Amino acid sequence: MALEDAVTLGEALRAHGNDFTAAFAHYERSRIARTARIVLSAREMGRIFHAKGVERLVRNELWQGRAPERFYDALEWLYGWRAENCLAR
Amino acid sequence: MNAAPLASPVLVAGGGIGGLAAALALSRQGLAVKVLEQAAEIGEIGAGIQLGPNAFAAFDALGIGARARGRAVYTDEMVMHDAIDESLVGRIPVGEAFRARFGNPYAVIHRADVHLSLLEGVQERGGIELLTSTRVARIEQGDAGVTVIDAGQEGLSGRPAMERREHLGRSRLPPRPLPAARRRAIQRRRHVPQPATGGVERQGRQRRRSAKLFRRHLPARPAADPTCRKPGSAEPPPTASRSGDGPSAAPRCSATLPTRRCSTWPRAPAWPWKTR
Repeated sequence: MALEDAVTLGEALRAHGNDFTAAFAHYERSRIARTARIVLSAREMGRIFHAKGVERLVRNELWQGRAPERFYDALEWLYGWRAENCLAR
Repeated sequence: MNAAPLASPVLVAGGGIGGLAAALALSRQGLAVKVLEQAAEIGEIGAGIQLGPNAFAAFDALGIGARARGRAVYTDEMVMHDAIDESLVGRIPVGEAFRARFGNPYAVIHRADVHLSLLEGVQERGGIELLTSTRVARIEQGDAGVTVIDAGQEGLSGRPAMERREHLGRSRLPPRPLPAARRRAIQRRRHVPQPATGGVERQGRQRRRSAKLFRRHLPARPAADPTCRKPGSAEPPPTASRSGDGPSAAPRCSATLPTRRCSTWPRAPAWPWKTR
């Protein structure tokens, strides 16, 4: 996330001609939802990793035999990040 | 748009991964940057981390893609096993199909190697001043810019890009100590603690008990084979096995990770990944 932050700030400065006020505003707009999604997803993954009882059984049934493409689709929002698409429109 | 020149440099508080990455990104926009680091030397501690394709995209945008690629360890798949019955729960191949899909690989790396790659990028780039032994004590902001007061009371004029301690508060809490049982397990480089009673139980039972005891996952990573990592190597090897310059009989740095063993990373003292 720190690496993405840095690149996004640089891209925002480029888009706003080094106007820091506008760039920081655009930077925040670009980062808040994504970084929160990463935190919330990590928390949820922790719950899934440590599931017990019936939650564990549900988890195993959900994931066992799942095709890689379904995992890839689910990871697209995270792994599809690039400098070219990092700024919010 | 054209970059408007600034009279004073951009100040970045902290020379860790975030600070150096910010310094590189700002420098690439044509800005003069000063990095303020409270430690006497720029360095990094930490453990192993995962790098998704997005991390490699960021490395490329910061101009250090080749350095980071040369230090990462590439895997063929991520697998998750149930800690109770050891059954395979999920398997995500991260080989060729994955790389084709996302345009970049999945890898693991030591945190210090991410930092080192950034530091080398900063040094190679030039125009970024690193001030060590400089702890930000206070920031005074005016219309024209800011003045950062370090603990030695020397004023530094500029514009802060990222100031964590002042704005976000307690961002550098000391790490919580690991529970004693986990510390011992890590010291022994074993997945499980010694059973308290008897020695007749099967290892599987022990593992199950320890999984309950620990209530956390111990990620398995490539074995602590120093030949797996090639520090300083700049070749980009997104291949499953380590790019061989040794004898062909050398142990393969298998990317199909051992899931039943928790082997430690050569330079990582512990895996303090705890979720709850």
